Amino acid sequence: MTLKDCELNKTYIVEGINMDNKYNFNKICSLGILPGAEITVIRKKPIILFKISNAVFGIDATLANNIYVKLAAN
Amino acid sequence: MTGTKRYKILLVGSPNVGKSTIFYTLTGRYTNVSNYPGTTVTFTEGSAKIGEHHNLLVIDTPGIYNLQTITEEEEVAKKLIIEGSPDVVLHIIDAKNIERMLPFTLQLIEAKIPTILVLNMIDELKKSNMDIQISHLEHDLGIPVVETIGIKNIGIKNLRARIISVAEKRYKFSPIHIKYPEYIEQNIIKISQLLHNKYTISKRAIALLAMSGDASIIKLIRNENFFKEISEILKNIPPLKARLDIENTRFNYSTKLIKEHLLVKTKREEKLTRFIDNITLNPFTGLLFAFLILYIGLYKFVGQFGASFLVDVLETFYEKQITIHINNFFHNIFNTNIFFDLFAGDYGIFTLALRYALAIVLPIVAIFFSFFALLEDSGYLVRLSIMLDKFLKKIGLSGRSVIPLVLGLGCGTMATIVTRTLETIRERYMVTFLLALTIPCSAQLGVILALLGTSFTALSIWLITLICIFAISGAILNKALKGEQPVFFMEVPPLRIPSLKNITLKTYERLRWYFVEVLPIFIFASVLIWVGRITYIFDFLSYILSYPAKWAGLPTKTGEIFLYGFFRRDFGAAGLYDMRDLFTVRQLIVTSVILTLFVPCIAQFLIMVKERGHKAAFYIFLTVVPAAFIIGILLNLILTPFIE
Repeated sequence: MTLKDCELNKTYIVEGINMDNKYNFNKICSLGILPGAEITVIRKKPIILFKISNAVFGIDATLANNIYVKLAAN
Repeated sequence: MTGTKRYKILLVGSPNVGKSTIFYTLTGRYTNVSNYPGTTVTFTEGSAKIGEHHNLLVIDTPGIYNLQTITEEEEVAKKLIIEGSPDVVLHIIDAKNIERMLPFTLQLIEAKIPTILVLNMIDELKKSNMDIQISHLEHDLGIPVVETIGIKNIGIKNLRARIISVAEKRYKFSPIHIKYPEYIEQNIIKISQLLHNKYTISKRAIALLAMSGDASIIKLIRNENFFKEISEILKNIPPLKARLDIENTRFNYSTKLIKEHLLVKTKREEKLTRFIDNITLNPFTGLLFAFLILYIGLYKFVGQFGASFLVDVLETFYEKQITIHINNFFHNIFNTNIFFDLFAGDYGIFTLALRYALAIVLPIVAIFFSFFALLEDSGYLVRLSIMLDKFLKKIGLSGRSVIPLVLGLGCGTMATIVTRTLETIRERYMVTFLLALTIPCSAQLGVILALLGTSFTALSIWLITLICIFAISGAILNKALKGEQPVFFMEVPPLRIPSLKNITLKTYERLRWYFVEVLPIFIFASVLIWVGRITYIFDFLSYILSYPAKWAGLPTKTGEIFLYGFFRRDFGAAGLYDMRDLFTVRQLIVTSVILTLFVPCIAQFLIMVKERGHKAAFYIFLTVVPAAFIIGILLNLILTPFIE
């Protein structure tokens, strides 16, 4: 699944980043969203807002769809 | 001066970490904005003296996340770091985000750049019930680590001392070594052995950047004797995978270090922030809130307080106390010959240009800039961007363009420069166009609000017309311009109560920039008007412009206002304010609309040429002028049956 399909207030682990679009890939990497990182979705509207370490990012659906995640164990 | 050496200090880091605040705390106010050679990107330089013997040249670089750069601005920051031979680099980070920002520190360390890690906004970290063991972190990284609170001037003394000890090479670095996956390490060795030129950063860092496909580093090593061999090696490494593995390694080191040295007490739920976010980000209440903020900020604060009250006070003072003396003074020198009109009289430099600049434009712009700084520093501007992203996507823009568009309500020229923060050329072009056509600058806005403010209907018609034109022209541009739709991401800072000192500093800096930019153009315009009037060229141009004015049902004299409007938008607006008694309500609405849409001023046009190139700037110009008048003529036709 991708970050786009995540549920509110649940924590996910980044598994990978889509490499089809080099530009989007670079952007996501630069933000420090890397495999292994833990993210928690705190809003889904108007765009996805998520917490990563102590920062909050807003990200649109296109970029969110490039981030592969899985639900964290607990 | 013997024994005084000037050290070069670079400030680097991501956007929104308080770089500029640290910069001003170190340098005081004597700063200088320069262009990076060959680019339009600017950076700020300032001097600082520490004690008797130490002179610093401090440079504030554009925001950058790591040395793998994408935009032109980031490229400039990177060039300053790797080609500018700095004596000290301050990597400034937002302390509570250390985990995400530390990988860049690791990259700087690896490049053998003399780095000091500055944990800024340490108070916010502590407020979130966390703490960092600085000395342990310093020991593990092997570079100086300093904590600061830039806006409160805390930790700066210590920072200065550390800067000097690094600059004088007294600090003993023992940099942490990062071990990458085996295939990366092997290729680092292979590539490093083939690099023979001299570089200011380590070969290890160059090899790593080359492997992740960084275009500017590959360009940098192009004239290596063994470049062909290096290319062969690079061909066998998939750059995106390499980049992911490299970044991942640094990220894991960073996480590990942070786990050891960051003490997290209990996590606090920030209820108030959540509540405010629910209001500001919800599509319905968010829009209402945005209107409320803009109503209070622009209408009440900029319009009523700035443009009506302050301008009234200042202008009356100027006219009564200053104009008379100036007229007398120049009358004594020139009697009434043509030179009298250059300096005094109705259009003179001292009586028109300076009066417009000081008594009309200054109060309005000052109020706007402080309002804008308030929006920025409170964190609301980012929330506005997030909320409007979906709307703007419909016309091919992203939430990011909110920043230049709102700034355009202050000064279109400055906003055109700020379009650089947009990621794609397409979006920059679109915003440049929309700024030129639809966004009134604060002087226009102030004057228009003052003129139309008495009639709610008039003001609403003006506003609705502009919003419609914004949406329609945006949609047309979106269809007409090729290119990919923008993507949007933005870091959302916590809501903060802005510090008065910071707001004042920002407003002061912007005002200073504005006046350095604007005052010469006001004076230049005054001189041009003078030349234009004595040669009758001006009468001729006003005469030509009076035709479309007449077609739009306006007094002939309006042609002259439009002509002034080109010299400075605010100049035209101020001119309109001067003539307000000659107009009916309908004429005021139509003139306000045309004046808002009509050409960007000379300054904005020159910046458009500089930023977007001649061709694009002229296209925009040639579209905007007829569009403004056609819309004015149509609006007049539509309004005629309803409003006198």
